[in-house]
Amino acid sequence: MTTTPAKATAMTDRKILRHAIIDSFWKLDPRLIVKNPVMFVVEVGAVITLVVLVGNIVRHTGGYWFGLQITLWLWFTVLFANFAEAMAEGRGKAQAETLRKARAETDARKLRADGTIEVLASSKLRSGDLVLVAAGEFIPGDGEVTEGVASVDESAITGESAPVIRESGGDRSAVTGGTKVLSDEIKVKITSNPGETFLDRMIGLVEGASRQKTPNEIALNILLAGLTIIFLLAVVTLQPFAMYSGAPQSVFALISLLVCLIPTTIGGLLSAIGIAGMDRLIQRNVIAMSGRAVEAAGDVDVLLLDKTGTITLGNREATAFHPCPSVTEGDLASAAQLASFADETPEGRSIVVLAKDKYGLRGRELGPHNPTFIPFSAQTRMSGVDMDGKEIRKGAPEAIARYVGERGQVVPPEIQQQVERIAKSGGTPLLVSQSFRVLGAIELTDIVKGGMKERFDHLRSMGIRTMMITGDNPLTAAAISRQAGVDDFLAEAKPEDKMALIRNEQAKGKLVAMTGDGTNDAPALAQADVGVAMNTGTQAAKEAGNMVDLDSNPTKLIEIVEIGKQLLITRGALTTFSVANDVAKYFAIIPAMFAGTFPLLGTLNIMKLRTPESAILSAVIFNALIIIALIPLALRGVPYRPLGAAALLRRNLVIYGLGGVVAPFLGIKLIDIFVTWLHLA
Amino acid sequence: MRVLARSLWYNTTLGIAMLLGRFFMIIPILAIAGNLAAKKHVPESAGTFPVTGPLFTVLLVSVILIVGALTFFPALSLGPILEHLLMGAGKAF
Repeated sequence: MTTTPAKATAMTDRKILRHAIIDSFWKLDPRLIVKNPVMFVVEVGAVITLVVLVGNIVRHTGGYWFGLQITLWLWFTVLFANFAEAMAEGRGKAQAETLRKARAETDARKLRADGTIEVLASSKLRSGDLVLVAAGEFIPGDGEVTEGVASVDESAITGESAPVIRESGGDRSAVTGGTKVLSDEIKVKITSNPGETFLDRMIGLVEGASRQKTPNEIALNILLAGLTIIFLLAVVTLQPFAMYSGAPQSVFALISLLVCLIPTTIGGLLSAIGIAGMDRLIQRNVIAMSGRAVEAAGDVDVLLLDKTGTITLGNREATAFHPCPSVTEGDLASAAQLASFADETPEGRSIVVLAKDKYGLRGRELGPHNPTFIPFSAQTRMSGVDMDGKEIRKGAPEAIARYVGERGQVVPPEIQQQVERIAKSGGTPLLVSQSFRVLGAIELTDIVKGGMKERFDHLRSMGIRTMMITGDNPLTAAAISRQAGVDDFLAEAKPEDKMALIRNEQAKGKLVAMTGDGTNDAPALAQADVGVAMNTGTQAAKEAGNMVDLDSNPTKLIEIVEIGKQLLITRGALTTFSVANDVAKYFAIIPAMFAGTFPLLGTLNIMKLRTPESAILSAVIFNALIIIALIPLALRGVPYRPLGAAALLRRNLVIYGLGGVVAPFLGIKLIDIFVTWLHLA
Repeated sequence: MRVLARSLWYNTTLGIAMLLGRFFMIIPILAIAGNLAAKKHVPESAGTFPVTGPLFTVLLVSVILIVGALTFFPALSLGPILEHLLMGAGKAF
């Protein structure tokens, strides 16, 4: 289930690297870099030092070597930040390339209104057109199956090689352009115009072309711009101070100080962190329609999960036979099996299997008995078989009670008690009767998926409340929610109830996440802050949600929440690290600036850096290299641990706050030793 | 060239600087306070960051100290810090 859509990622690592290096130069374009205020200031600084350097050379003032090195490292700082962004975009671009291949032009057989068929290019199809797609053909565009059933290979989109069933009506009717029909023929109503298909949108999203800044990113950008302005003022006002004290500073020293102080580390890595977060989702086969949804996922308080398919395995299974006192268990099993032979539902099949496993009752030769199978109907709520003059029936307790009641029979009190016990314990009871006599009860149980309790405990420790939504009665719902370990449940839920529940939680100031696949889930998906639609679901559900899970695995919501949290934490950690770094840079640069005029300020040179030039140069080099050093962390994300907010913050403050204060003292000292050793300054 | 603080230039500019530093800071602070007051109240959960206790105190104090120190360190190092060091070396103004 975890295959990635683009296996290209692994093989193209070197290609991504080469593209990223070229892209980092293209991104020097001031029109692009102005979107990032911090890096824009660095670039302006680099241009100024370059102009001053050229001026100095023309005027033969001497001392070019120091100016040249500072200028080069300032340009490197900008290039490194561009490289980080280009690296993050690179993986998405590689994936977009493989997706584009799936979008290749195909021929479509369009059904005209008069019933004739017209062959035309898939790009000519419009929303509302009807097309026929047979085995071996590619589906020409997104749409809904209006007639027929087919198995479809969707590996081009999902990376999952097992074919899926698509059929008209119900919740499995949506097909995606570029996928291949493997068997049968279907009639598809196209629902999107060229250039607006799911594949087109996916390509846009993974390429980052349609990437917009999220509210959180905008807020952080304002903070970074604010810090940049403060430090700009601090540096600009330093020159008059210095002149008053009789120690005017060179442009190189002032711009070095400015670039070291403004938060270049986080400024350079900010967009890479965001892109990498989206990319981590794509690698788990989740397509987020906006970065905003990913961030909201990180702040989710309440998780709504459907019972069926998410918490429990899709179907109930027969787990026990409870016969009447006068009937043996074997007879009951035999009758139950006979009554279920014609029942194709998973529940019916599980009864046949249980009778076989427990009592060795295998498929019997029914031909000589002249059986007439009675299929299940919603009116009678029973199914069964008539053979040898006997009527064997199986059905819901009330249905069987009414059926035998018509012949003056009653359900024995022992069985009535069993029925109530089964319902209370979260199971579903069925009764079996033969010739209008109740033989006993069958117990059907919901099977809770393995490991769910641990996952919910995990969520609880993250501060997220889980709620189970089910159409079951409150008794059954309570029993299952206890078994699965969810915090709360909503029983006998109708779509309106889901909406009301979400609105209610949101009114309390909480963020709600949910998954869904049906058309009746669409309003709730649209209302939820994070709505994850299943890829197997209807077009309406996919349109309403803000994420699509290509694997259609509802428990993936848990991973989405973790990725969202990781994104927010990574941003916070690197911002803290970036600002904490400044302390050491001051102790490097300020004493160096005034060492000539006031040797006494050498007391502040606690790192004992060799010369004023080497001190300033080392600080600038550290400032540039730390961006490169942190690219892997920005792309991978800060490791996430499911702890409470306070414990998590304490941990990260020690690592990135305290670490951010200490690391540059060591780093700058090391670079200074190196710079002195190479006689660079 | 030494300029005395008691000149028309310094009297005027220092006055303006003090006025701005004292009163113009009130505007952004009030804007932040207004924004915070308008925020929605969110019930507490395990995911809420506790704002009472030593962790928050340490965080708040260090943010104020570091950001404040970073802003004023250049001016301080040429002013009081240098003066202190000169005084230690036996040179007073």
